[in-house]
Amino acid sequence: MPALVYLLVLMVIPLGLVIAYAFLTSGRFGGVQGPATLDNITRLFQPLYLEVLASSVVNAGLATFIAFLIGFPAALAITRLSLSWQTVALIAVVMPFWTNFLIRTYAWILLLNREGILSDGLALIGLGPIEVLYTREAVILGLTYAYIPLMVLPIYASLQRLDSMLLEAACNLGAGPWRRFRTILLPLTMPGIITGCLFVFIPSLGNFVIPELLGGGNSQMIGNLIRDQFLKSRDWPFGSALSLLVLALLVIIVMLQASAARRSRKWGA
Amino acid sequence: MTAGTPLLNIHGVSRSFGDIRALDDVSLEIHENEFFALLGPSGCGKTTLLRVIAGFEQPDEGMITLDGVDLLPIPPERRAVNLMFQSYALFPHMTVERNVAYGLVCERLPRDEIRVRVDEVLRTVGLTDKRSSLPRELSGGQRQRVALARAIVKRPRLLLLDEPLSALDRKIRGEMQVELKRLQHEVGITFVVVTHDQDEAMSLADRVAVMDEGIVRQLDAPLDLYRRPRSIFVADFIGSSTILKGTYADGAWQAVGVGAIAVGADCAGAIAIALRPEAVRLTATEDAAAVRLGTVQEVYFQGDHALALVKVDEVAFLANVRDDVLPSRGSDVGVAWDATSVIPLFEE
Repeated sequence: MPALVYLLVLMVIPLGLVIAYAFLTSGRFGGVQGPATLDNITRLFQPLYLEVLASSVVNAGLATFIAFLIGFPAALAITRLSLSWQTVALIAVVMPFWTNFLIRTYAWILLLNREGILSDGLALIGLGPIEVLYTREAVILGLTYAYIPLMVLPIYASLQRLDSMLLEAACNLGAGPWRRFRTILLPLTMPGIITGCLFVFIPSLGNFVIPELLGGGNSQMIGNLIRDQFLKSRDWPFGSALSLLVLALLVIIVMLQASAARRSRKWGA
Repeated sequence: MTAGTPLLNIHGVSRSFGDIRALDDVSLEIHENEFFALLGPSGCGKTTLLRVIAGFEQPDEGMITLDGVDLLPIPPERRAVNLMFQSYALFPHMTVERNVAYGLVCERLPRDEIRVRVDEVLRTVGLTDKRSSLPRELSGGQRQRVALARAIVKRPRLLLLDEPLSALDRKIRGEMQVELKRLQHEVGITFVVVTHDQDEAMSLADRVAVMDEGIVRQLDAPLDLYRRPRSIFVADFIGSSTILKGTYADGAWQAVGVGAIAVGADCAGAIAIALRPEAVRLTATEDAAAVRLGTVQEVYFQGDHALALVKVDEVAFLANVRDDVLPSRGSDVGVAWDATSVIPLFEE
């Protein structure tokens, strides 16, 4: 019963409000008023907004991909440690979460700006100075950094469950390292990989702090757009419509993930 | 290769894990087409030896050659040695067919040849109708056949089997035992079985190496191992026996707690003697053949015979009873045996 109340207050009512707002007209000083309209929904399909959505998907997708490229080997390396060192390594992975998200993002500004360590370092070996801050690359870097622990943890969990005998069996049957990775390790840890990718992709897609701080004005993402509708343009209905667009996209992705998970459960334990 | 030339030559192989000496100067020769068994209690080093041959462990010392070629520098994925895992280690996301084909795909064989060989081996193990099943959908016995098929389809020089029957229940175990023997003849591959089950080793293998604490205690054909164990360990581990420690003096065995016993074999240098239960009979107390008198402590019914435990002073004798009437517990009996059935044991 408490779970139901929880769901109602934190999920059903807010979602209902967002859906309702998306079909109303904006009030003069924020808020909403009648009459009901489909204008907000049709406005979503203007090229300007679709472009922002597309570039947000690309940014979040790239961040997810890079997080996987780094996170998978990291998770694999952790499983090879002794049990007590595994605990140490896992604590190290989640340690950044002990510091405020904003402060960590500000730290990247210091690292990336023209007088920062990265630029100075590259200058020493004759490759700088360069401007990384306030570029799209900085946004992707920031997103990757912020959510990579959420990639490492589920992959680590699924690697832990994997029977190491299977890798030895593949080796014994003549499979080299790359084939073992491709035919055994990757498919059998796919549920963890997909979960990790969702955990990185979903918060990256709606993020507006990192594009603002590390991207400057140059790299708007859909999150910034939504925030601006509510706080600057005072157009709550259109902000709600944009939110629904993001939500719809995520629902589709989560459904794909669920069907992939069903397939892997068929293999049995 | 002529008969008698060793296919696999293990020479002076040692391997330690910390303070534990898993393999201690092990030397073995395994011949072409032989069914060889490594028998021993858990922790005796037999699995380590298997992993060394397969290439998952490197020995600290020693040498292993296969067909005369040094095996140790070859990485595990390129050794002509296949291993059937105790847990089978079937790939859960692949069908029976893809599991079996895996090793051939690794060899980059043409697709047609792979299909022919997979079909053939599935027929051999009787799983043609299960080719599209996932491992999860198979019974224990069927999984084992897939594991076997996956290993033999590679046509290895040597097939290693780690406790091949331990995961099966008793009834299927008997069937698979016959099956393994048939397959070994049919495919003509040298089999090395690792097991802790003496029945399995004795009934399957041409030769058995009994291991204990990383050392090969005795290497013989099953019959010789049973009839002529050299050590207390082997006499005790293989079959059951009454072991009498003592010394050899004045042409008789001076057994601790039992006194002098006449022996048929030369027991000079022995540290103990063994009597197999089938060599010991129970007699009436007044029978002239009775060597000692004792009291029946327990009688274990075994089907075609019963095993009686008879206490003679402080020593328990094991005797097989084939009479229709079994002795009752607590009754006084005589124990008798022929002096020629005494087996001298020379090592601990």
